[in-house]
Amino acid sequence: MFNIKVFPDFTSSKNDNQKEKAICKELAIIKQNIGAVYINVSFFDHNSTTTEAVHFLTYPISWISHYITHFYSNVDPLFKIDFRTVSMIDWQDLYRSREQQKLLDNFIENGLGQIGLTIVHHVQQDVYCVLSATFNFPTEKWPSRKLELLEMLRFHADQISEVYSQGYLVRGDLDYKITPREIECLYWVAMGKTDDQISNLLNIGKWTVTGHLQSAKYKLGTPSRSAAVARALTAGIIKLRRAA
Amino acid sequence: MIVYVTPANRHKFRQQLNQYYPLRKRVFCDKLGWVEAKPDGKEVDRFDSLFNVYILCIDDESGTVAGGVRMMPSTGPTLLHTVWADMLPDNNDFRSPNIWEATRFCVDEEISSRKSNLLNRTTLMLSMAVADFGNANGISHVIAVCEHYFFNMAGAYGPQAEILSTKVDENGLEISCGIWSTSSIQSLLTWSRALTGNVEPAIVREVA
Repeated sequence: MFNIKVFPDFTSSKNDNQKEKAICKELAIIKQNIGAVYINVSFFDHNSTTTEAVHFLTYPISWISHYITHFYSNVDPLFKIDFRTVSMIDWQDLYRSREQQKLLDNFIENGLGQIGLTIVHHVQQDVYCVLSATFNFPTEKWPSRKLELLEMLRFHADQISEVYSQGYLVRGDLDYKITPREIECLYWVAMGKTDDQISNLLNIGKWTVTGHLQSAKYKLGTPSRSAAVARALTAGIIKLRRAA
Repeated sequence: MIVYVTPANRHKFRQQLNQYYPLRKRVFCDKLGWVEAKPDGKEVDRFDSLFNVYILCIDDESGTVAGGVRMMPSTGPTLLHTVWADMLPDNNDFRSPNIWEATRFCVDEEISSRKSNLLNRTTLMLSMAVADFGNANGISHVIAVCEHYFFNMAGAYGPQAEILSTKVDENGLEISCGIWSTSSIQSLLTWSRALTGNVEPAIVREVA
C-alpha cells in the first residue's frame, strides 16, 4: 500500500496534521544543515503479510506530475531495492539501463540535483526509515564530502524517525546523560583547542577525544561539534571563563 | 570470504550462525571461562536477540565459519556498558549511533591447526572487515573489551587502539577496554590487504 505526502519545496499546508507539519519542518532543517537540494523520507513497515510504505516528498509538483506521467516508478532503480538489505546507496553506483539513464537526465535537467545519497535507518522491529538527499557538488569533491554527509544523514534519520514514531520532537528528553568527560571535551573545543591539544590537556588519546565528542553530539541532538558547543553553552552545560 | 549478517538477512545465514555460536562456546566458555557453558553446545547471550551485525569469515576450502565478531551500536545495551561498566569512567560514555562495540571476536583454532597461517589470516580479514563495515556505514569509532595481548597483536598490523582502562579479572587475565577510529584503521590497512590478497574492501554495497 502506498501513501504519498508532498511538501512542495518544503512547505506544508494548513490542512496538514501536526505530525505531517513536524516532518516537513524536520526535512527543511535537514536541507539547511547539510546543504541539500531536496530531501525525501520514506517509512517502510514490513509486517508478516504485506509492506506498507509512507513517502514524504519535497520535490516540486511539476516534477512529481512529470514522474507519474512518464511511469518512472517502473524504471526508478530506488523502487526496486529491498531496503532491508542495504544501509547506504550512492546514486552514482546505481545500475542504469537506457530508461533509467533517461530518468536521471530528466532529473538533473529539472534542477533537482546532480548527485544523490540514500541511507536506510532501522527504526524498530520491521520498520525502516529511508532518507534520500540530492546535492549539487562537483564530481571531484563528492568522495571527500560523502562520508561526512553520510554521518549527518544518519543522525537526521534517527531524529526524523522519532518524529514519525511519536509525532513530536523528543530531543529534549535525553536517553543518556552527558558525562563529565564529554563536558570537558566540549569546553576545550569551545576554547578553540584541536583534538591533539585536548588529548594532551586531558592526558587521553586523540580517538578517545573524538569518541567523547561524537557521543556529546548525539546526546545534545546536534549534527556537528560546533552546534554541540553552541547547544551546551546555551543550556549552561559549559561556561567560558572571562579573560582576567 | 567475509559475510555480513544483519537482522534483515539473518534467515539466510542460519547455518553459518549455527557454526559461529558453538565456536563462541569453545572459545569463551571452554577456553577462557568467561561465560558459563550451557548444555546446548552454543554460546548465545541476551545481546544476540538485539539489533546487531555479525561479521563472519568463511573458510574458502571447507565452507565453515573460521571466525567471527559481533558488532553492536552503543545506543543500545552493550557488553561494555552492562557487564564491563566498571571499565569506563562513566557508564554513559561513548553513546552514539556512530560508535559500535565489537564483541565475541573469535577464531577457530581447530581449523587453523590444519592451515599454518589461517589463524592470523582470519584475524586479519575480520579486522579489515570491521574497518570496512565502519567506513561503509558512517561508524566513526569501534570499542572493544578483550584480553590485553589482543590489542598488542592488532597494533602489529594496524593502528594501535587507545586503551581506556585495564584490569585483572578473577582468572588472572589482563583485560583492557580500547577504542579505535575506523578512519585511522582504514588508512593503515593497505599493506594488510596486500598480505591477504584482498585488494577490494570486503563489504559490497548491495543494489537492485
